[in-house]
Amino acid sequence: MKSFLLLSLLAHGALLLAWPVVDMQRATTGPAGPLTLTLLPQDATTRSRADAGGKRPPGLPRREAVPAGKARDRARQATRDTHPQASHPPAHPATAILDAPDTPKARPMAVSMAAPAVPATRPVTTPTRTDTNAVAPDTGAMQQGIQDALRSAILPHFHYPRLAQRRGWQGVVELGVQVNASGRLDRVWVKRSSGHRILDRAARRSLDKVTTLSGLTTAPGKAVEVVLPVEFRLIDSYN
Amino acid sequence: MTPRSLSIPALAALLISPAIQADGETAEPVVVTATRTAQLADETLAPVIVITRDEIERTQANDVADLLRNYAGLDIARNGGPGQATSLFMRGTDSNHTLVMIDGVKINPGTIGGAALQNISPAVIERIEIVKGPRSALYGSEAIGGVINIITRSEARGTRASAGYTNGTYNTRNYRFSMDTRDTESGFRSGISTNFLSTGGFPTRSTSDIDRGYDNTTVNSYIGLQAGPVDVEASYWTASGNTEYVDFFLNPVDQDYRNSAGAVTLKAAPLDNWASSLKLSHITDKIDQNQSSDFTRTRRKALDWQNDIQITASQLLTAGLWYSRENTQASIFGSGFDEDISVKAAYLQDDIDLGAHRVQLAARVTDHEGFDTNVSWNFAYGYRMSAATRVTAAAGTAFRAPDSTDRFGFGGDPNLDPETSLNLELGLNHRFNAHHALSLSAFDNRIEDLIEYNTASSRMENIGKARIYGLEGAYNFDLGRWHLRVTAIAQNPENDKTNEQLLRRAKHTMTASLTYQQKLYSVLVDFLATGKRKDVTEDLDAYQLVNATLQLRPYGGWLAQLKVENLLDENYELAKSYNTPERSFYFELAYNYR
Repeated sequence: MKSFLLLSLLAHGALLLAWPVVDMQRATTGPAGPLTLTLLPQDATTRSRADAGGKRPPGLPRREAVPAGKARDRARQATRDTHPQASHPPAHPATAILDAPDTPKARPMAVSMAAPAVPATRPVTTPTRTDTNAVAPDTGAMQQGIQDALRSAILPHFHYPRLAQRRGWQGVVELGVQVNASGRLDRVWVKRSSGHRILDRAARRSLDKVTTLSGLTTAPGKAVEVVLPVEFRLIDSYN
Repeated sequence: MTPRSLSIPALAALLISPAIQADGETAEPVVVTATRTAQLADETLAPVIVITRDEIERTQANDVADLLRNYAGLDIARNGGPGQATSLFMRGTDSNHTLVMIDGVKINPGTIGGAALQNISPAVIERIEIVKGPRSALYGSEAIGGVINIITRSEARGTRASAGYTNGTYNTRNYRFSMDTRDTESGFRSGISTNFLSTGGFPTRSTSDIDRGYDNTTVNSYIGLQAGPVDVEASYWTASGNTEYVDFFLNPVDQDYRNSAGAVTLKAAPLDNWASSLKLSHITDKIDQNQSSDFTRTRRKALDWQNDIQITASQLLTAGLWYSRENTQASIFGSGFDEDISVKAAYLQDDIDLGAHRVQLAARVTDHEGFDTNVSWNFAYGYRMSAATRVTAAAGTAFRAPDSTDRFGFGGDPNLDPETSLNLELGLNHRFNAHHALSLSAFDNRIEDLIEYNTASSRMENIGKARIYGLEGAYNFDLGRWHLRVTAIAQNPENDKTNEQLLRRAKHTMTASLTYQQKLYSVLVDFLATGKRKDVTEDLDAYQLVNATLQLRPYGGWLAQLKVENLLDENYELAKSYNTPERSFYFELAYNYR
């Protein structure tokens, strides 16, 4: 009993110690630089809304890992899109949120189950006061392009590791992605661990096979860093 | 830990997103989902039933057996009312052919094989997972008909508390209280649940008019935390009380019982792709007769080391070692035994996932003191024909080690062999659309070396044979507020030597459960139809049973519910000349804090 308390104290203490460090790092930031992009696959959002509360909604069919069905078709589409000349618009445009001060809400929450096709948040492409000096005028379109390309590129590679599925492991991995001026992925790293290394690795590896973001109408023109949170979530399918 | 490689631009980017910072929210992620698999088995390869907490609450059952009987293929027999000796026949197999676990700890006693389901209170249960078919290749003895894992732990975060009071027919009172807390960041969790049931009961035998009561005090508690890479948890479940009944001569007698299961579990991930858990458990199962010195007692310590290793993206290996040491004691009509038995086992399973194709191979070698080494195996293949349709084929063997009563009781033989089985199975799962799904299984289970008393030699011998083949199905319909579940089984549980129907098991059973859920109330109606069964002296007639519950949630966490059991006031028997409840009413008032 005594040792449990001690361990609990230690665990809590460690957490309390670790937190300020992260905040400090965020606080000591330098001058404005490139933008942070949040990738928002349309139906992933829908799904995540629908699943909030941990229960499978009645309308959602029993489903294996996401990439299995629809995403795989999209993967095929993406493969077809790899040729630069064949850059028709992505079948499912993702919603971009530019993390600028003017962005009304950080989370485009209003995407509802009933009307998944309607993006409740307007795709934020308007340049804002703070980022004008940092980014080229056509940033919005460019970011949109990077994001679409990145999304089509990574989705087919995601899978839920079976070990994690068996053990009931879930969590959010934050990936850092650095895209260089010509659209190459320079670096992919785990910014924040999910607590389970196999999930971290699965998330990072989903980008391993992607070297260049093809399908971009225009090259980024400068290095951009993107933060991509990937959530691994298990859904109850009891009935 | 993640390398602290934040570049200046990245940090700058963080700075210009105060909306996020202010709310303390992270950006909406890309979500990768998968189906949560049952702890026991993957439902894509085996028939799995999961009974959720919601359903347990709505059903308002007195014990686990009353929850299970709402599913076809889980027949029960009972010698009277609540607390009386209860048997479960999974897919027509014997009452000692189902392995029962509480939070992964096997509770089947070594004196007799069947677990004391009548003493397990639903109040402390979060979820019940049931897998049908042979599972000895992973879990060892008794897993011939299937395995039941009773899970008391919830994954919910934060603090939850619940208290309830029930009053009902047969002078029944039930008090329950539970409190759980879980902090997802630190992994610390702890909880305690208690339940006290007391019922005046009714005469157990049809020829008796003395009410026989029962009481049960259940306590379940646990504490766990994540200490660096290691997760530690300690848990303890116990149920104890008194059961009144009448003996063969209809004299009122009673017995005290006590069941417990305690465990310390260590979990760690030594490598990215390797998860390991070590469980040290202890169980007791004890009955003391109050009018004589007769008693039975099982104490068992077990150590189970299980490893899941993801060797490649498509292969998940499960490897484990088991060691148990069991002491069984009994004194029945003056003669008895006091024996120690140790069991060692090693098991290995390879789960291969090739997209549309799934293959699972498992084998277990069991070294039991009483008989030669037993090898059990399992093979399962699944093919996903489309996103909506899956077919499976499986074959597997299972065994039941002779219990102490077989070996050392009346006519016992210490050198008995285990009972063994070979089951073949085909399955089909189809989801028509978002609203309804159907699953079908056809099985053929042959059991040999059944231990029976041979009147000619006056000894227990491996002489029995049984064959049970059948078809079972489940249909689920989900339409927002409405939920319908229909299950049915048509089987032939037969003694393979005499060709007679096995005792107390029906050839046909059908159940239907209809739920209508609103914000302020829900209604549940359970229907059960069981065919004719054979018993020792006479047949048991077919019967239909209807239970209904009205659940009201008028305000906040308050809950009031009224249950009517045996709404049609059907007069039926689960064992010849033993009574069952007449139409009865139970009212519960509860408060849930979450």
